[in-house]
Amino acid sequence: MAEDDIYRSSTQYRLWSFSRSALHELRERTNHLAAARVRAAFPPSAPVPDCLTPSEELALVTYYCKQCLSLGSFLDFPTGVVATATQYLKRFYLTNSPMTYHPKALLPTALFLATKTENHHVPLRDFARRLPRTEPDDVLAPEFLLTQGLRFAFDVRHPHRGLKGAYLELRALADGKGVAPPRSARAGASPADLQREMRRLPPRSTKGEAAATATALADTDKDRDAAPPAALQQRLQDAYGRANESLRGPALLSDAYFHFSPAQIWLGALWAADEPLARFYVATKLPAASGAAPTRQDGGGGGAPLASTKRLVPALQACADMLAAHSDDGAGPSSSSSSSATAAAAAPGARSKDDLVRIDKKLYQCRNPDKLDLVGLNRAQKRDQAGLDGRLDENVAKRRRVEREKGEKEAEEVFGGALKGVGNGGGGEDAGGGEGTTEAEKKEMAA
Amino acid sequence: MGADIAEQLNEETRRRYVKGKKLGEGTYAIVYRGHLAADPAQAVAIKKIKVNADYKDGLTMDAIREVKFLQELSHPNIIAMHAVFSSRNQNLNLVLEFLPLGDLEMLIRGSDSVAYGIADIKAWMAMLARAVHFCHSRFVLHRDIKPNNLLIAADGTVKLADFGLARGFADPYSPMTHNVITRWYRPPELFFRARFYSGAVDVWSMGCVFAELVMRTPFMPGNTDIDQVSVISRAIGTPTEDNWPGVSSLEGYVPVAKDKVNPVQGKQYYLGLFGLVGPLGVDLLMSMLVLDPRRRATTRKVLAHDWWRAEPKPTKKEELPKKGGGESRVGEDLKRRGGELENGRSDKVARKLDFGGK
Repeated sequence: MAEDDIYRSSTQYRLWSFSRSALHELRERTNHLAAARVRAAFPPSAPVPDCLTPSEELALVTYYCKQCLSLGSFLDFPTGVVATATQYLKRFYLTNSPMTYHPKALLPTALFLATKTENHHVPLRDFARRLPRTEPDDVLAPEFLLTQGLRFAFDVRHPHRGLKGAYLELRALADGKGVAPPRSARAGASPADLQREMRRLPPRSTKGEAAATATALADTDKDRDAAPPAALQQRLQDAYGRANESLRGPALLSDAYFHFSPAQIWLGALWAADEPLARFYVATKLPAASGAAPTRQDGGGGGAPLASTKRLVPALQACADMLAAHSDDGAGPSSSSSSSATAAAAAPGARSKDDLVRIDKKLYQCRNPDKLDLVGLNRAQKRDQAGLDGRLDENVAKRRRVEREKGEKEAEEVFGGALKGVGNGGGGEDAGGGEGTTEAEKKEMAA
Repeated sequence: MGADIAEQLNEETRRRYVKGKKLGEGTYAIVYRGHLAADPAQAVAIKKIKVNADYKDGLTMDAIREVKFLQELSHPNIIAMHAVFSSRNQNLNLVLEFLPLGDLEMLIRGSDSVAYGIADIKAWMAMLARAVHFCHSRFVLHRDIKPNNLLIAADGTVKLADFGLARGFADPYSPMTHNVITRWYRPPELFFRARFYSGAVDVWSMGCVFAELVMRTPFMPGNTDIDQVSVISRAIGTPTEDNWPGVSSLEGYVPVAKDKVNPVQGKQYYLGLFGLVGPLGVDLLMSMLVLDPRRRATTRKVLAHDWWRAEPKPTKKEELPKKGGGESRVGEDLKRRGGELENGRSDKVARKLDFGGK
């Protein structure tokens, strides 16, 4: 299982995979901390602000992830860039609160950082120019903050490529050119056998029939008419299309990346798109789970079916459910009406427009006043550096920082924590014509 | 008042290390000696990435690439990055493995020459090949393999460092820049501006390092990019449709008059130059320096070669010749950025060159 070992060495697994309860707790903690800071930042005389709840925060982040998808497609960025940017936002807000940093401010930054980490670098000026009311400084100011929130792990592993591979394999199987490796549940079946079985797969179930499918699959073919080749091709294409849509929407908006590996996510998407097809595909890859009908080859010396298959199916089912719950969430495919009820209940991000407006209004009242002006804060931090070249003595910098913080605190106390204007007049950070990215690199990124 | 969890995590990481004296400073980074706060005997190198005032696009690509790939790649022959943290004022600090014995370039060209033999070359090359194979099997190209990016640990282990030009290559139709790899180690397809390439580019660089280890001087030291193509043509052979089908369709390919074509050198020629490593070693070297990248050896092929198992056996790493590069050398090695050769020599930053093409 070398592939699994590789995945387990990734930061996505080591730093960004959680059980549901751990994820829930983390969001709670982040919310509590931020709320406490907001309350502390307001003067005692002011009314205690009504802070966002963790689920309101999540709804807001999900909304801005959705905005990120729209912005990404407006800018015509590749899937990888947009997908990475949404995960940056989701990861960032596990340990940061929208009350401290508004997602609206982080969104362009996440997208811009993703262009750099996903080999699609767009020069900052061009990038900012294409966004409404956005200056280069607005994009850059929270960049460092973002990288810290990402724990300096920039690599995000996506399921898109894997799904494409499965689609190509399924097409080969449908063409009678596929094989099932030894030890898989269909080991020993000839390409023609596999093709025949595939043509006789039960039709895709709609919700509610799912349970019946499993049993139907066990005694498959015999009495079912084989689908004509063109119909099978169409079925594959439809399944791939639906699965792909759900990787571009629901998979990115839900918590799927936190709970499942990329392979589980695309298999889950395929599962949701066409369960019999997904089951067949798994059978051409892995040993039969115990309980399922053993194939000729598997019956004898094959040994006990791998536990992995047994564990895989529930994981895929869970992932498919999670994707389905988010599929009404705007960006996803319009799913059958029968699943809407569950979707509304289960998707933590899915909120009505009215509700989002309410949350946003509420946020306006409980934003941490210390962190409103990210550009100003960023400049202040850089000013500490201003002896630049790193020559500034550590103690001097520390003293300055302490003084500044003390000053800010006093100002708060005296003036009742007014939104401070860190403007400070001295904008001009315009260092003269640097080298920046080479032409070649720009071309690489742009291409 | 408690900080955000993100800040707390960063503080925790930062407090785990103690920054000591400065070992070196370059335009790109300052390198410090450091150690674990809990155990001063555990040395580390802390590479502080400087904020580049000239680069207006925020965090630089070098820094992003280096951090991105070192976070994911963990292998005995790749420099380990233990942690990353930010210090005040938005500086990125990379906590790296402390590798006190300099780099391969020092061993190759030290003035008070270190004596080494075939068994030593074999050991070094094997460690390099494992490192590069590991990267390629994870779909990462290094794109700057050269002797001074091969650092040496206290126990003699070779460690591939400097991932500032690295890139993932898992997506087949995504064009890449040809402007990578320090010139002397850059393969011909990149001079011809190939936009789609693979691990073969790193294998060429490995071949150049191999040759350099034997000759103890760079094998193909061109003065300019144009010159480099002629140097390659003389040393290996002129790329033509005969020895490299399809080469003439590359954007930057310049046809060579028939009478100016140098034939691809045969085994005799290589035996004359590199006979030291024996016929098998020469065979391996030639397979890494094939002009046509599609016929060049892959790292898998390199690792499966018979030379490794032939006599003499590779030296045990503890017994490899060493040279006390010392701490200043650690600073020198880590402060560089991708594509940079050491002071004085041409080709400051390889990827800053522009071919003026479209």
